[in-house]
Amino acid sequence: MGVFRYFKKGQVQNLESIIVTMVIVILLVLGVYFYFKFFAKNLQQTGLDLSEIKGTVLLDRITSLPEFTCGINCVDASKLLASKNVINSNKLYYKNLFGDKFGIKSMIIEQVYPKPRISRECLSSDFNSGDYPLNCRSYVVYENEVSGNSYNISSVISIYYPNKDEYMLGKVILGVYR
Amino acid sequence: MKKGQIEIIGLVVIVIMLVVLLIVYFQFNLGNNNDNYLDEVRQSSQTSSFLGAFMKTTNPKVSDLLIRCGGGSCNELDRVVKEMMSEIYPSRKYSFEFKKDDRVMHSIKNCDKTIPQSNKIKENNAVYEVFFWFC
Repeated sequence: MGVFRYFKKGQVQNLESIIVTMVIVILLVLGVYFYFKFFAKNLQQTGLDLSEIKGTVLLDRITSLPEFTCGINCVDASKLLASKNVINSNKLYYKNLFGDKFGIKSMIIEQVYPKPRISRECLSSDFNSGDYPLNCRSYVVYENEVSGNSYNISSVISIYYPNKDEYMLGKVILGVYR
Repeated sequence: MKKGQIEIIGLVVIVIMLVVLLIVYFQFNLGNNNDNYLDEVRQSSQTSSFLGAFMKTTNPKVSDLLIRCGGGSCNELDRVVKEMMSEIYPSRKYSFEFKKDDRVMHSIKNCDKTIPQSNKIKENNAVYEVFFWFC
């Protein structure tokens, strides 16, 4: 028994009980630790999944607003150009709608196919240019100045150009507050 | 009970606790199937929005490309789909199937059907249907 021969029988039994209790306590603590660790991880993942689903629903809701839409999964480029002025002149209303109600940080629509020759923001002055819509790439519809933790979510959309009566392929990118 | 029996019960309790610990660990680590559900929702939403926008595109006019493909010339349609996909989802593989009046006329198959979406157009008394899915 090595070291144990210096102890009395009762002391050895006490030591044995203490060691067994310690092992049980360590196992219990480890069990509780792993349980809560994975529970917290799952909770975090569920939160991320929910915010992604919320973002997907928002994409549909926002592109269906009368300010931008030209039908299902379609936005009108002339409305996009005009919307910047409309949003700027009704800042409080749109801050309330986009920022507070929808929780949106930014909304950008990009022309994807055919690929524009110049990669810059489209402005109202571009509308009458002969090159339009291939002389610019993006429509920055809304940008909230309030900083905050956000993530981007995007979807493919059809962009309608009424001046040419053409539909082209685009992408809507939403910055959503977490 | 004899002392030996009590010690064996103690050992069994510890073994049971270890087994429970392992079950909890593996359940959380391996039994997570929620991602599959979300992946399906994500993929279905991406496929349907791409297909909807693709069918609407008039520069180049997709309905004309489909009619030409129905006549046997599908190179232009393949090129346009490939270029669009490389702009939108550069790293993703996809499959594409094109039917005219329920007969498969052309397909690009990189994988079996996962979550396909379809869209129809009717031109010149023929129904053209496009199936699209991500791999």
